[in-house]
Amino acid sequence: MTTPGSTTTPSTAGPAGPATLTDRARAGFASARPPRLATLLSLAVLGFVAVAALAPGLLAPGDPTAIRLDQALQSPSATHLLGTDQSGRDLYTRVVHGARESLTIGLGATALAMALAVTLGVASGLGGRVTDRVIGGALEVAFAFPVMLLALLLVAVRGPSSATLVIAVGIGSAPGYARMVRGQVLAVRREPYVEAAAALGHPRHRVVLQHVLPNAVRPLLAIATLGVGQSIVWASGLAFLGMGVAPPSPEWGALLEAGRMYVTTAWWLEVVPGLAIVAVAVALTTLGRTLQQRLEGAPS
Amino acid sequence: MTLALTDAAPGTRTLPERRGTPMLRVENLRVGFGRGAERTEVVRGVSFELSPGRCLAVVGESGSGKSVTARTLVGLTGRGSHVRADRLELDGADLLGLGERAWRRVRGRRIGMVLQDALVSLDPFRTVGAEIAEPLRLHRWGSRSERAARVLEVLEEVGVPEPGLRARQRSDELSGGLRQRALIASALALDPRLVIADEPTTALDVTVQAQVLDLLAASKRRGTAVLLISHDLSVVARLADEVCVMRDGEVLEHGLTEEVLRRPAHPYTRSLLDAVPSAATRGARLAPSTPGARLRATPAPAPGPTVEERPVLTATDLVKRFRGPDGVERTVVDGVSFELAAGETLGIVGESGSGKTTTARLALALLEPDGGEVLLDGAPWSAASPAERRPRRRRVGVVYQDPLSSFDPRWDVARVLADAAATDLEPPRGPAAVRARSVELLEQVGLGAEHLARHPLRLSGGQRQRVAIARALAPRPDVVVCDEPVSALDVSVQAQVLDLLTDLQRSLGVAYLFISHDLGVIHHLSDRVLVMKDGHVVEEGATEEVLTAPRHEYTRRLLSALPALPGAPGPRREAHDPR
Amino acid sequence: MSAPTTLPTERPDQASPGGGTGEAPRGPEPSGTPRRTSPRAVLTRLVSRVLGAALVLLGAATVVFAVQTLLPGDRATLLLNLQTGEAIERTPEELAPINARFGFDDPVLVQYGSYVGGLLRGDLGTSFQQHEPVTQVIGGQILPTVQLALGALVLAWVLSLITVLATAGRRRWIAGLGSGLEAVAASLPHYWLGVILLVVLAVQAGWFPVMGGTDLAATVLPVLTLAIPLAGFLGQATRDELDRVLEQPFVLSARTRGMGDAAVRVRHALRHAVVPAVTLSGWALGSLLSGAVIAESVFSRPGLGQVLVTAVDSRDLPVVGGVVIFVALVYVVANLLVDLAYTVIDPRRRP
Repeated sequence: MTTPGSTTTPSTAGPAGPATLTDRARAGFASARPPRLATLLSLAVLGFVAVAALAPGLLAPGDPTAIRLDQALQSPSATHLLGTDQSGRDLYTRVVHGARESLTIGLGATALAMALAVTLGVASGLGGRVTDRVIGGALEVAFAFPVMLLALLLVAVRGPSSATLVIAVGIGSAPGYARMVRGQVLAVRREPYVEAAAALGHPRHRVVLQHVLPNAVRPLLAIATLGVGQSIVWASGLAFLGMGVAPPSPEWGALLEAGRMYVTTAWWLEVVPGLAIVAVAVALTTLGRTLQQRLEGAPS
Repeated sequence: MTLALTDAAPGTRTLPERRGTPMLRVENLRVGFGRGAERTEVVRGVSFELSPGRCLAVVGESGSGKSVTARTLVGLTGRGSHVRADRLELDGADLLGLGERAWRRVRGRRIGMVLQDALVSLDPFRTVGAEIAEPLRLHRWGSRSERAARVLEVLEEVGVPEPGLRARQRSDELSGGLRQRALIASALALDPRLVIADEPTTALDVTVQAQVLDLLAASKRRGTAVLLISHDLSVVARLADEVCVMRDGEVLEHGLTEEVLRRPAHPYTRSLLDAVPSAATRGARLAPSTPGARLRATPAPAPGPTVEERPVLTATDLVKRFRGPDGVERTVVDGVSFELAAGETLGIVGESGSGKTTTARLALALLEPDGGEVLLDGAPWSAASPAERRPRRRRVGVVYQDPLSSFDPRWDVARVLADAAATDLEPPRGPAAVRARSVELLEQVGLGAEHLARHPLRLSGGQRQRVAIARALAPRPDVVVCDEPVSALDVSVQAQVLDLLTDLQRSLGVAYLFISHDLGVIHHLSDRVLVMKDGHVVEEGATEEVLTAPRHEYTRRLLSALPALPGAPGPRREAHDPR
Repeated sequence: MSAPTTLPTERPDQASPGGGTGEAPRGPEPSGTPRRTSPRAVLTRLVSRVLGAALVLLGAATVVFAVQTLLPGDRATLLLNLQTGEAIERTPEELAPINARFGFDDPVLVQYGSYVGGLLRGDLGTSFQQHEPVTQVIGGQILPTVQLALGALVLAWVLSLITVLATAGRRRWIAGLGSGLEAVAASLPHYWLGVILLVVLAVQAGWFPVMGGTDLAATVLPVLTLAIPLAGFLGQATRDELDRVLEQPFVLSARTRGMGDAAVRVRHALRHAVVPAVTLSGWALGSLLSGAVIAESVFSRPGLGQVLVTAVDSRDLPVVGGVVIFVALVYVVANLLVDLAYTVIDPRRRP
């Protein structure tokens, strides 16, 4: 652990003269860190949700849309773990079966945002000065544009559906990512390893594809993880404004919206889907931040 | 002052009787990090004493535990640390059991500390005056106006001109020398009796380094005890009365500076001394046994410089301007010309901001000059189009100061070398051929096939630089541009890398354009030298001539500022038989 | 919706505190004389900032105009139907006076010119539905929303600074608790948080009024609803930076002078650590206005959000456009203020 220089990152060295030769004792115990409890918990939550999304029947064999009016609005009990809604549908079953649609919205929106962002960011970072100016200006305008309004307009034009949600949230979050990709491209382009590749005589397109792109996009993996959670949160917010998925669906945002009317009489209808959203978002945030630190610090 | 090797462990010496009681006493200091089985001891049983008006230097390479020792003396070893000692006393008072509050009364008032590189060791958002006044304020010294007066007084003491003006500036507005003086001023503000200087000159140019050392010497003369932490033996020679040599947390040798540097008792100290490149080491090996034996088995064609008169790289009247963030254009390289012949080493020496790195990048044609031209083998190089240059790039390799940042962070050694090796091999470049060539390259630089699978992060600094050299050599270049290739390395590792570069030149006949701020390194390695200052070449010629009989005033100043080791014992080179 | 998670990792530029010791060639050594920039340089910079802001506004206006003109459906028909509450085809005779009055038949460029010209005079057009100038429709609702957004921003800063200063860089479980709190806060959906706060603190506990007004008591819960998630984001950004800054040599320097831990945090580290959160704040103010749509709806609070939802529902395009331009204006002004804040925090950025 204390091999001289084994974990030295010379970036802290003075830029001109000889680099620092201070002892790196502290670096030793920063490296071998066991996975934190929070990371393990996050993985457990995501594992559960992944199963719910892929094979909801395994976790909740019942029918999420089965109406049993005689069992309406029952509070959580042994038969109905998380209670029932106004039509007597089992809430646990509905939350489990809603995972797929909610996750799909989150993943879809993030994927769309990333695709847009990488295209714009890379074009801006690698194109000429004019391209960069134009894209930069467009991004500024996009930032100044209230994204909630974009979603409202889209719904006005396309009507509410989960595809609309994906597009609205995706386009809405793209500028932030794009600005980051651009910054990354500009930073990576100045890295000595890019110059070293050019000095070996590799053509420009090869240097870009082999070094600039992958290294610029790499930190985005962690950010995207965080982004999926945020997209789910935002999508649920839109559901409330009547822009979400149609009511019989057990999508979490729709559940939230439906539970609102019963919040004083049947609190679980509002609290449970909300907790599901928060749990997934927190797990993704924690994981994303862990990933971020790993990517910054250690080799893959 | 006699050696007492009979009844003591090798390397220990008896020290002269001291006058008065020591102010700092450290006995059997042990510092560990981590808990339980994971604990690693980084300081293992260090003992020393320090009296007022004296300077003790703790010398060692990275990982020796010297900085941890220094921080322990101000109670800032850090979280997760575990400090034990038989005795840790300042002026007879125990430091070991101090609580955080009591430590705060000691720090700044009784012990002043100077860290390296004031650019990052002074708060960049605050004025120098505020930083110097901080210890005064913290220890409730005087009134506000008295403190302001004291700030000016200390600044004057450390030789800062116009202290009133400087106190209102921030560290980034000051030159390197003024900045470091301001940092020292903040440590001296309360006139502490002990000053700990942790690598106080490491990031500084030689001329500035000399000024800072003079300053600490003056402080010592006024009766302050100075504990100097350094990796640089020549810096130590200039200031310290006693030297402690540390390695792996242990003191290997402790004695009077003169004694230790002239007649080192421990083999490690001797190897450290031998490793320092200088005028005296020209043509000699620096490291006792370089792991490059495989290469040296093939007899070198002819020892000594085999310089042909065929110029490989010719630069004429290079000019390069950059526009600063403030929109003002500055000429960074101005009228630089040189000729690099096949198989020779041309050193470019200069302080920071002299334009030497920009010159290197111009030579590599990674920058377009604003004036002048670079020729490669007599054909246009800087003036050629990128497409024309690309196939010829393999003729010119490059080695950077920081090897780690010159490798794609996603790649392991195998990939780094395969990428470079592919430029040399004729297609089809099968994986076996690429691998064979990579291993061959690794062996050339004294590494083995077992390093292929490693990630550069998992290599030591020296190994990384070897890989970087291997990559530069992959296309079998005629010229390698080396930009401060050994500046970030410990002196013993630097010695090995310099030896390696010498060996490679002899066996491969490659020419080096060697950029360095270190006159010793340049003197050791170069056949000819270019001295640069502010973008101009102030002097050039054969290394021996320029560096022993400098004609230009600036070169003279550089040389006189260079801290020198006390006259090395004559026969020390003969200690190792040439293999 | 522009995921704020992307921003904390971003720094305004490379001049961030302490960290700027990378490979970039150090500029020429400072001459040692104080940098006195000419008033002209200051002016140039100021003009370029304001010009940039104006361009962003023009861009937003252009988008608004494009949406209004290019959206499917005839505007004159839309307008007539909105006025009468019908949804029928209109005859050309009915439409002609409308088209003449609003210039819907003019060439697009002429329309664009008169639209931008109107904006310059402070004219945002006339509401299709309420027949009033858009400025009046919006104007009355601006104050409550701005109060809400600013209140949330201030509260978010206070909350995040308290958590970060108390927990960052401390023992692992304390720091973990702090960053865990932030992760949860940042993951709370506005809408859900609002409803829970409403039910628990207003309906059950009865501490706050259930039906919204704009007085102080009725403002507390909406402000909390917007502030808590934002505090999570600001906290994450500040914590990362504080952790980094506490490792900087100048912090160690301050400790060797005898400075205590709390003082080091507040006097040295914090000033550096808030820079990313300041960057975020410019973005946050814009996004708070989006969040306000939800908060106002949950708490039945008057404001721009209500105006916007109604306008979109009825396709009252001039009002929608007016809100967009107002939000863009807020964003632009907020970012000019952020720029100003940078120079206060970091003297090196002063021109």
